[in-house]
Amino acid sequence: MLLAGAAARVAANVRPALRIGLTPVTLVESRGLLADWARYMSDRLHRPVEFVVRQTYHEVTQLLLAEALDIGWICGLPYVRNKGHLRLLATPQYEGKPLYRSYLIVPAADHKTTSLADLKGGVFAYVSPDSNSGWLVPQVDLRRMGQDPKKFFRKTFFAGDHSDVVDAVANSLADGGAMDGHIWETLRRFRPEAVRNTRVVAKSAEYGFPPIVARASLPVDDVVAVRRVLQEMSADPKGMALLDALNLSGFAAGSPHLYQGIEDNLRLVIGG
Amino acid sequence: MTVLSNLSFRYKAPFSLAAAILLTAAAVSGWLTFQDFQDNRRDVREQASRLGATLAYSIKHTLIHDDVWQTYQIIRSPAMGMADVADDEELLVLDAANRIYCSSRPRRFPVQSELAADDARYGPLQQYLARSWSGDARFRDDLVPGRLVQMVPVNSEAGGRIGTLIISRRAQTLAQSLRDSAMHVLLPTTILMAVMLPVGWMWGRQLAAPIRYLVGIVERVGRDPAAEIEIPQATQQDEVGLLARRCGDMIQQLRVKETLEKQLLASERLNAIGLVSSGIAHEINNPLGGMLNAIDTHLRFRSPDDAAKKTLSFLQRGLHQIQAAMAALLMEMRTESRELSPEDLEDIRLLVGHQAEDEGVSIDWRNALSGPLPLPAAPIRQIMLNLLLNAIKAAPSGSVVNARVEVMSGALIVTVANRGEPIPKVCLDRLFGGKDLNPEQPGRLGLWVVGQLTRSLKGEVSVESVPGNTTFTVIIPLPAATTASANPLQQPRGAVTDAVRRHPTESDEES
Repeated sequence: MLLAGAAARVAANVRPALRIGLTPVTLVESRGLLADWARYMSDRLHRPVEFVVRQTYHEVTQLLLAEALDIGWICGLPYVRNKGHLRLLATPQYEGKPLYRSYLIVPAADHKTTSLADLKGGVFAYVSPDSNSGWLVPQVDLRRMGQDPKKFFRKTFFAGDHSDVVDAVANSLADGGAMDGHIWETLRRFRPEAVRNTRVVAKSAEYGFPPIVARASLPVDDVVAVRRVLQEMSADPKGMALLDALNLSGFAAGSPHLYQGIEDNLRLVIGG
Repeated sequence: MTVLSNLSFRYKAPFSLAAAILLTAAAVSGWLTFQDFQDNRRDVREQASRLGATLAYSIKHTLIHDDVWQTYQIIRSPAMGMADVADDEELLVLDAANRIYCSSRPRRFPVQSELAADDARYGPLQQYLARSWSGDARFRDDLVPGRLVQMVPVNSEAGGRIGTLIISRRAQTLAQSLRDSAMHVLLPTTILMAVMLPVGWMWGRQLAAPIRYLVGIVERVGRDPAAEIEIPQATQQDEVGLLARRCGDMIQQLRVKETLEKQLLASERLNAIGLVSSGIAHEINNPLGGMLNAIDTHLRFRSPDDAAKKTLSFLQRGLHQIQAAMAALLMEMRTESRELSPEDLEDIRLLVGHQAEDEGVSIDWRNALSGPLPLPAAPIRQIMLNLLLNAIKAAPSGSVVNARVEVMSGALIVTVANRGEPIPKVCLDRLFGGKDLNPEQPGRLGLWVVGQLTRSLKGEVSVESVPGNTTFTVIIPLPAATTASANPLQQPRGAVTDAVRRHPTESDEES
């Protein structure tokens, strides 16, 4: 039956759609942008491209591992955790570099907090346990401060999404939160009212930008083809427009070494 | 109050109507506002109960998974997009220890803070939850000042309470509800009043109009003669109609009273005139009696010739007429006067002939009497004389005065017509001394005497006056013994009058 279906598709010269998973972390909530991007890639890959949006990194990662997706845009932390089963396809570039930072934010009305240490005994909002910037970085920072992350705050919770951390902090549900710096800057650029009630207290060291990965079983030809299309976006007016909407400067081939810092942090936390 | 009670009905009625409209609008508005207040309380309670049951079910799972963010997302969603209640409603989720798990207003109720930590008003609620609450859903308006509170337990599948949902809403006071409703009611009421007040004003004026009409009439009573005061006409059966009818009765009675007073006054004057006249008459009657005796003696015992006899008879009739005139003036008509003969009427024609010539008026004389009639000659001579003198005086020079004497339908009918100016309508009723008897009216004494004499003979006198023709008609019934017919005035009055109408005067024939 499967063979018959495949034969029919070959006969029709139609290849199956390339399924790309992502989360709202990429801010591609606009269906119009996703449709444009899918059409752009489809035109160049000569095959259908389908974007699949899931709420968390965890869901996207699990779908990749289950080979329900071909490609995924996930955080560096799940990539590091599962790099034996995932293949780095490309790394987005922000301001010309494949790097980003974690931001520590507090409500704009809080004029006293100057560092993570000032939030001791407060309520803290993380993104998710699969987020480097939204969980791992503050965990590591607290350990380096000699604090127990489980006791340092009065209460912690996971908002699930970077923009929800902004929401929770802006409404003072949390006294502080950690999140992707690129997301905060992109929100400030496109939706300034969303971050108006928050203030960036600290920016972390640079880490490898959340990568685009492929399931390990994806044919190399497909990996190469998609990587080339992504890398060529910065040389194409339509691609440039899409990159601008994503608040990115381009895509690089990327290297696993970019994520060594995240791996070191993870080892520190797990080891601790 | 005195000012109000002294206010004219012209203003009092519309003002009262306007006040009634205002009071009605205020009463209805007040009642609607009170009902709105009650409904609002009931709606808040029902909404809070439903919302509490729904939210408690939804947040049960987030509490079990200790998911602050999802709990927050759930409880803040009801208030989002509801600008009118967003500032009034607060949703709080308490943990099992009655501390804030999360709230729709994190700044006022921070996570893991005590319920009343930042708002002391919630102290009684906190104590109630810790000490008195049975754990069932409750709606209370006495635990947080100025707020209505719905408490809903959040129970796990096993039945244990893992949290509490508090829906706190600002309680609208009756005064606030009244104020809000007043603002809502003010505009439509103002529009309604703008329409109703002029209508009410006009209506009130219409209601007051009959009163003002009656007041205008009553104000004339005592100031103007009753005869000149209009008798109010009213067809309606209400109090105003009754008042108008009673007012009309009063004016009628006043008219009668004034007429009686005038007649009394006239009688008193006539009495005075009579006293003077009787003196004069006495002075006249004495020599008159002597002269009549002398003439009578001369006629009986001196055998005068025919010419002297005729002259003496003429003098005798003239002296009898003077005697009768005196009697009429004194209201002492003597029934034993002699019968009317055709010669009496010819005497009158002769008497007025000179005056007619002086006035340039000719007399068309038609005397249909062929013999004596059983009627007193003196008063009828006086009637004829007065009517003819009046006609000659009224007739323009060169015109004809028609005089006719005849017997018809058992009555003597005397008709005198002239071509003079018509008699004003207002004077017609007074000519012969009707209700408004006024014998002192200049130039009308002769006609008044005609009226008095005719009535004394149980007859009737009338006048018809149109431009170019004024006709006086005197109808005197003959005694029943001399005619087969009854008293013509006891017949339908129109019968004789119609008979006269069918018998045209000379003037009619001429025209």
